[in-house]
Amino acid sequence: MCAQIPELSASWRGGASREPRGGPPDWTQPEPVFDGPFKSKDSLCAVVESYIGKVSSAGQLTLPKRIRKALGLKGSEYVEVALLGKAVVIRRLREEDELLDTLRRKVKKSGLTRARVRELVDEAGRKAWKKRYGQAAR
Amino acid sequence: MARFFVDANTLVSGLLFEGNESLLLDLARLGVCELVTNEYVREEVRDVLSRPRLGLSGVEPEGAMALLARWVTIERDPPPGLVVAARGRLPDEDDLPVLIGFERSGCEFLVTGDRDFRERVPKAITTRAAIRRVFSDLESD
Repeated sequence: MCAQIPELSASWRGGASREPRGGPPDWTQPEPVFDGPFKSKDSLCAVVESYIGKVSSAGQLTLPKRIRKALGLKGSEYVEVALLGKAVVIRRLREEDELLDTLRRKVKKSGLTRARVRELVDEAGRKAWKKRYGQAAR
Repeated sequence: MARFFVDANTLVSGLLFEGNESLLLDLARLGVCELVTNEYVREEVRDVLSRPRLGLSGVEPEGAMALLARWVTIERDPPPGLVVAARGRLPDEDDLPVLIGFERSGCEFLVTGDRDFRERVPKAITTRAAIRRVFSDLESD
């Protein structure tokens, strides 16, 4: 699910005055303009703040400053791009991904199978039952 | 947004292995579905992660628990009276706090890898079925 993005650059426009399907937007201004969020009828965009942007022929784009700030992106950082149905979600790669990688690597190295882990979960269930409900069940 | 109650096996598998369960956790991280569980299930997960057999060290089990706290809504356990009164509904009584927790949570479905559970609880579904529902919701929006 992870993807690395090379250098990003392009233009973005935000603002209720721009229509996504009413003809090509005006990309003539040299500097990005962020007038505010744009509400699209598509998928997730119906409920979240979104901006209209242009992807260059090389597949590059620039995230609006507000989006970078919201993600906590400072300077050059990797992000993850996830395809969800017809939408794309971009998120910052975090320490939590590294932790998950470590956990999975170690468990793989331990030789534990899913079936054995399931047995461990069953054992844990019996313990939790005894501890939390054992007295009431007597 | 779809809300799923998840059992311990789903959460543990999602943390420790790549597969449908990890994808479901990812979807919750992305905010396109909500995962709910209760303290009882969390304790089961913590117990498994602390087993030396897994080879995890130091702060890793607690780190994993912290991830769950971020991605999964943890509800309070059902009261003992309700759980005990449900005896007989499932072959394993230690699954009852999960069943009652699900019923009290208001979630649409219970996600579990336990076939016995799914045969007895009509709203219990596999992880794969849950993922299908999330994507179907996304595409119909």
